[in-house]
Amino acid sequence: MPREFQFEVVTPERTVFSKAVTSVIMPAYEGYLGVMAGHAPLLALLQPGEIVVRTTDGKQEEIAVSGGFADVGPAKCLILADAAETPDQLNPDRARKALEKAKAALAEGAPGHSQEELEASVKRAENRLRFAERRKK
Amino acid sequence: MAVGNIKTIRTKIRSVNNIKKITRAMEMVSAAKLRKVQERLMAVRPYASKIAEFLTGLAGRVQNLDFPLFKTRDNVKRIGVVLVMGEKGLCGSFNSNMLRFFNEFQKKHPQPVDLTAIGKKTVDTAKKVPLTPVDSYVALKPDVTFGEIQSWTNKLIASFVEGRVDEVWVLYTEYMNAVTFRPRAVKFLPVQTEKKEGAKKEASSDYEFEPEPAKILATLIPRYVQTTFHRLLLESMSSEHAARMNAMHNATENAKDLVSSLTLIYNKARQASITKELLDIVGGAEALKG
Repeated sequence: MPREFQFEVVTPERTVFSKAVTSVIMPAYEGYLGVMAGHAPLLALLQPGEIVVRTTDGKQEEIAVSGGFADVGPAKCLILADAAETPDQLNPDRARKALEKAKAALAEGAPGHSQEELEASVKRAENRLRFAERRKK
Repeated sequence: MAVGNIKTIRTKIRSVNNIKKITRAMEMVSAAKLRKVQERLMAVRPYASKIAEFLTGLAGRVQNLDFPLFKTRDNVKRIGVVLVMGEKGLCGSFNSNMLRFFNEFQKKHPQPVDLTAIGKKTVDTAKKVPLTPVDSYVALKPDVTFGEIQSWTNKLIASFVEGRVDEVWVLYTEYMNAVTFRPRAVKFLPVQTEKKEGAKKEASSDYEFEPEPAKILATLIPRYVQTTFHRLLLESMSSEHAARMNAMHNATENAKDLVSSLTLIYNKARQASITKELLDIVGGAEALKG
């Protein structure tokens, strides 16, 4: 019987997720990272990607995240995300349009934004779209 | 004479009624706006407090805090002040309280000020003080975009890092609930980490970082600064709408009282004139009889 721990995803807009879970896989700075109860204390930067959560009742849930920070402790795991969505909040068509817009901005260059910022925004949009499309199937 | 009097009272009642309608409408509008801003505020608050916790924890664990935004300067020659006031008037003492607070703040911090004015009322007030704002932003919306916040904080950070100012303070009105809010001043830069000493004691060597702490901090600090700034703006906006809602509610109540007392006077005057007319008629009839 795997032990459970508290897992929270908070964005500036709202709390996306807050439940007791048994395992979490998150897109950390150097690659995907699995966390279970009793994990050594860790602070990590996140990159755009998806979080896979296994809740206490054995169900699997997915959350798309566009970067942020993770604070992992033995009994609690907190993610401060720049933005995060659950599958039912994402619309593939909207995600595709956002990606096109981000790509156009990268190609033409937008005033007041650096090259890295634009590249990061394309990356985020791609991540959302991938997530949204996979969920539809 | 009496007829004229009645007429003026009647127009008065009508105009007070119109005022009542307007203030009532303004109250409703403010209530709706307040609800919208408050929602955002309540959503930002947990994130802001968590990110502050995060920063404090991390700052305590990094041995040499080598970030310019953390460095306290001993000799404060010039301070940056961000003064946040409302967009409009008609909100009770909201704006005047803030101005009084600002004057008191200046007594405590006599250094020359680089003012950043936020809100149309701040810009107007600055002209009277008189101070020329370095920057001013008006027409705040409840859904300020992240990009806007970023460009404002970037400017504040730049003036701090480049040494134009040695401290940055934000003067805003903290929102407690729909009837209580009070002006507050917070030291915005250098970044304050609470209980830094305590956190340092428990600086555990078994904490892992991915990537190294300095790199995390470099991403975290701007994020923290922006979130804090965003929260302060939302606090002020919520307070403004709440203040206006209260002021307009009181105005509506006053208008109601005024209408009822005017109606009483009107009825008395009308009755008096009728009685007088009757007396005239009766008196005339009596005279004809005789």
